[in-house]
Amino acid sequence: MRCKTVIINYFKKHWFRYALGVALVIVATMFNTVLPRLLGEAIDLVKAASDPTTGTTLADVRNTCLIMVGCAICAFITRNAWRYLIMGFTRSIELHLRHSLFTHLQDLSSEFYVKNNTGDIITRAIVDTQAIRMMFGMGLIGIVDVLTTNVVTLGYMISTTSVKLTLIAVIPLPFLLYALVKLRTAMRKRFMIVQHSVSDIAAKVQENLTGVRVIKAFAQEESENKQFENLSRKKWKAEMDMIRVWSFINPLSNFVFGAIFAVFLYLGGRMVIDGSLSLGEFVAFNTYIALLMEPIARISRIIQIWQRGSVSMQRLDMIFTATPAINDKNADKSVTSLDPMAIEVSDLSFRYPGTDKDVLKNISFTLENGGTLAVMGATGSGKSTLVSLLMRMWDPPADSITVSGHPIEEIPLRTLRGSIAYVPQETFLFSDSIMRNIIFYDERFSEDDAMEAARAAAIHDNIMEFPDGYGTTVGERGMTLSGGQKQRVSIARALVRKPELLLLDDCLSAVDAETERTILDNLRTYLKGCTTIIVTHRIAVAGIADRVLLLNEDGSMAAIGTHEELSQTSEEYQNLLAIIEASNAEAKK
Amino acid sequence: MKKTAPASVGSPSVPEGRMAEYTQKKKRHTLWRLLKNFGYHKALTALTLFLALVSSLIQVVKPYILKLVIDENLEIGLNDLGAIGKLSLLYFVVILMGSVCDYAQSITLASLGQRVMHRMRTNLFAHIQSQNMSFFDANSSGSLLTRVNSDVESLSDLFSSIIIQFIKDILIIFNICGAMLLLDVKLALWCFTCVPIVAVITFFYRNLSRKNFIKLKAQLSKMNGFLAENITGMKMVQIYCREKQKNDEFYAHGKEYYRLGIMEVLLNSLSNPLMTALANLATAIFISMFASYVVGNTLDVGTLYAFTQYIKQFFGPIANLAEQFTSIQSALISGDRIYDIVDKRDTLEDLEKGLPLESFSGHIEFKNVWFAYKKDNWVLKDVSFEIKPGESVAFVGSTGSGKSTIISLLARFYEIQKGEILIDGVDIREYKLTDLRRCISVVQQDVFLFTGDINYNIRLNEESITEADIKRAVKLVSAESFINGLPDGLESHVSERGSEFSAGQRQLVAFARAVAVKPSVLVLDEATASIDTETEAALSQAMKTVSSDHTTITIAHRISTILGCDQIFVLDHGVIIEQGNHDQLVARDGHYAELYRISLSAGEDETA
Repeated sequence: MRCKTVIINYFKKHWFRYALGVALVIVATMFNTVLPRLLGEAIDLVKAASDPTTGTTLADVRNTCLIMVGCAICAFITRNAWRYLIMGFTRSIELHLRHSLFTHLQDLSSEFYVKNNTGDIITRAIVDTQAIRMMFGMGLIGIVDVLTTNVVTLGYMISTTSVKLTLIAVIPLPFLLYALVKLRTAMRKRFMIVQHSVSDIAAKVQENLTGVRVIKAFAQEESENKQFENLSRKKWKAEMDMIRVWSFINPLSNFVFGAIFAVFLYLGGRMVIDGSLSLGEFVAFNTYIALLMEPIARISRIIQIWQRGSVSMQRLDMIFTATPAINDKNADKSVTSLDPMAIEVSDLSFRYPGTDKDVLKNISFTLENGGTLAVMGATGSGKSTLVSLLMRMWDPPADSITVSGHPIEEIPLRTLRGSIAYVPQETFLFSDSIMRNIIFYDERFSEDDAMEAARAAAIHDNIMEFPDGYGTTVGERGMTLSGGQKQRVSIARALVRKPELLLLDDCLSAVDAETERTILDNLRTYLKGCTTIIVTHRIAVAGIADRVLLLNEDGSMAAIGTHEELSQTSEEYQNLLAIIEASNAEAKK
Repeated sequence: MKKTAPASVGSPSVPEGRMAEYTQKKKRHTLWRLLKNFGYHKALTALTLFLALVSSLIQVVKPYILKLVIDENLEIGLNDLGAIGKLSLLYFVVILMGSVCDYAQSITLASLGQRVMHRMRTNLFAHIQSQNMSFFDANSSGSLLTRVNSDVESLSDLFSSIIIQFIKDILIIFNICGAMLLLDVKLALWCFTCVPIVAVITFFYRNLSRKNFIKLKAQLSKMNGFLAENITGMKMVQIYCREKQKNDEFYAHGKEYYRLGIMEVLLNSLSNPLMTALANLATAIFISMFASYVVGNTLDVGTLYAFTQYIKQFFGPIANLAEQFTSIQSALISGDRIYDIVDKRDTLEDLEKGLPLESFSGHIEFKNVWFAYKKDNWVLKDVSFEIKPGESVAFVGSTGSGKSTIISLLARFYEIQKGEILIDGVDIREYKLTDLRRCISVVQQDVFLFTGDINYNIRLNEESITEADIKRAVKLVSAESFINGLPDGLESHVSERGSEFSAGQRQLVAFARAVAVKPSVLVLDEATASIDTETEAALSQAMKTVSSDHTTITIAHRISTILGCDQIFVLDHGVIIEQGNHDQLVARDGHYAELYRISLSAGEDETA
């Protein structure tokens, strides 16, 4: 799908409204051209009325004036009608485009978000869609307007003066068009740079605001200011580069038409002298040149809107053409439930797209329904990667993961993820009430369910201590929760779903030992029979798991088995225990 | 710049009364304040105005040359081809000059506009940078982003074309009025009866469109904020299959923006289209009224005709002004939104003032400190403690007991309401803020990495940190093996928030960052939560060697990480309930001893 396709499809559906609007633009233009002629007529009638011999009366003048009033009102109405039809339409295109873009963003997988900056995506979704709206509003109307005015003028010229004079008047047009085409390409490139610089600024501000605590903690305000100033300077320069080209258009067209007119002044003057041209025609020609030039003055603005719009379309295509790497292409729609849950991972090796190092190497294990597996290993050994592969945040190699007997790529994403609840290592809460963050916009769960889950996550009492209880707004615009509180809200969010498979990615790191214990105990009773995978650094957690999977630093499997087995057989596991014992011993000392 | 009152309350929202006062002030001054920006570029402004003047003169000269050719030559049958040739040449030269002048004017005007906007943008950004944390708690990043980007951009038209056009239009209106009065006072006065009508319409339009623009821009901010949040949290939405709900929410935001947009389209009918219609109506009424005077020979047809032309020319710029009024209105609202932030001085941090500081010995004292993020919701209640230079201390307590808050207060992210915080015997409010924070290095719970490379993330922009310092820091925090394993080592790319690294790896980088600046006080706020036991053990060993020469503060949930500390403070609901070293606290058999027992039993599990 491309931006163009989205727009064309929308046009196809609503073409009538736009066509009606364009038709009304032409009608409105006609009314406007009639008005000066009516004025002329009225003046002539006044002149005639003052001469009794003509038989014209003041009533005739009044009638013409009444027609003028009628025309003015019609012009006003048609003008507003087209404005409403077309401007309203472009507003709805903007809405539609932005909405399609967001829908598409929701389909894109992690790979896209690793590569692209939040600020940049926001700029595209907000600023670039605005530019496209302008393109179909003022941009297109401008073109229709310029064309109708010029065609009408040329028609008058041919009908009232000679074809020869008309031809002289249009001599500059081909040159101008050529120049405009040349300038257009130059402008396009420069516009692209301008829009990118807008994105860069947005990305910088977005990042700066998110990391403001670190910036302040390390007293980096000055250097951040400097960096921002550089970006702003870049934008300034990019704008000037664009304007230098763009500003050519008006003076150039003025000059070309003016030069032609200067030549005509001499040649035409000579023709009037030798009688081959009447003075009236000479004067009329002057008027027409002025009429032709008048819309040309607006052309530079139109080209600007148009170029900005088409650059923006290109920029939106960056998002629209990004294909969701994770999709339901191979899905078997008949798989609607993963109960009973069973996971089989066989010889799984994985590297992130675009890298050349395996993060996971030849991992194999099975997890039967209701079982608990603890995943341990050094920092960067691929624990979180393993968990995200089970949710298909990334696509594992074929045949390496089966869930409930189905190869993972054959399970529809909704079924797979609908059966899983995941608690990430780094909590993300939305700017909303705690209640809505736990229920997470899912009507299936009642407030009682949420509270029950919160109790199991050992956060209920904390929440009740807040003045607004579950109604407390959290997230960016809300109350600041401590790290441990956030983690537990996030756990409650997972628990309320009573999933078939629970994935806990080291999500108790900010919780004290006592609370950790309570939560783990609650899990047993609250989620009876739920299959669980826990990523952890704590042996205590590993102790309650049915089995432990220990990963080496290079992403290969060190050992798998029960805690007892491993403490007997696995050298790596024994090493780990030894380290813990050493630190405990030192502690007791 | 107004100085931040040292004792100012750290409440996140500005007092209502003061906010209202700002609103009053800015309403009167926004346009004036915006225009004053030209004052910084006087020469360029003068040049632009001069060029604009020349180009309007040329506009007048062009028809005059034509008039000379027709009226003084061809019409009277003089037929002097030589003179016509000269005039044609003159016309050509004038056109050439006009074009050059136009071009130059566009460039100077654009350059002026860009300069002013650059200035506003960088000032706004710098101003936001100097705000304290309360400000950032109260303002979402989406709304701030909209101000720096969209709102500054909205001023572009105002600065680059509207102002000049505005001046031109007003000049034209005055000229036309003068011409009308000279020609016929009675007719002119009659024409001027339109002015009150125009004024009333403009007044209504102004009010309505102003209100609408305020809403429109606020809605744009909301959309920005929504996108920022949802792009960051996209993963959670996808995993929990909540795309539809979020999509509906976004659509609702978009729909509201659309509705306000349509409202703007409708309101615009009151501006340019209505003015044009008025001009036509006025002409028609004018002719039918004064036609009888012509018939009665008290009025010359020529004058009547001239007046119809004047009415047209009179309304032309008014319609233009009406159209520009929309852009001006839009720019003014954006200006208001920018000045809203710029005027917010009570939450400003004074980074430069105060005692300069190279390093301090690390003697920290909290004296009866009371603190609340929000009014009366006390997070710390009468907290007092003392940390001696070189000591290593720890704060323990359940989540939400105020441990991290103590750190925030120490680095003066928030102002305390009551009590005193002293470092080396001096109130921290006396120190230069940037120096204070440089001396206190915090490894935070939520790690934040910047786009760039690892080198940059460790050094940030401290030029004093050498390559060797970075290597030393990396080695110290046991991040060597992970960084060396990366294809480009220290130069490896870090994308937004370091999303390609695991949480543990990010934490190690943040750790290295904190160590590299050689702080006087090192604060570890749950700094090892995501790091595996093996690395953690190595790390704590290394910390012991460095911590001997500076004060270390650790916040932890795990007793095991803090056993060796000289002092341990147990916090509960914002009150220090126990303090002492490990042995003392265990002997006391209180809250800490309980915690210790739990952790021990967990530890026994571990080694069982």
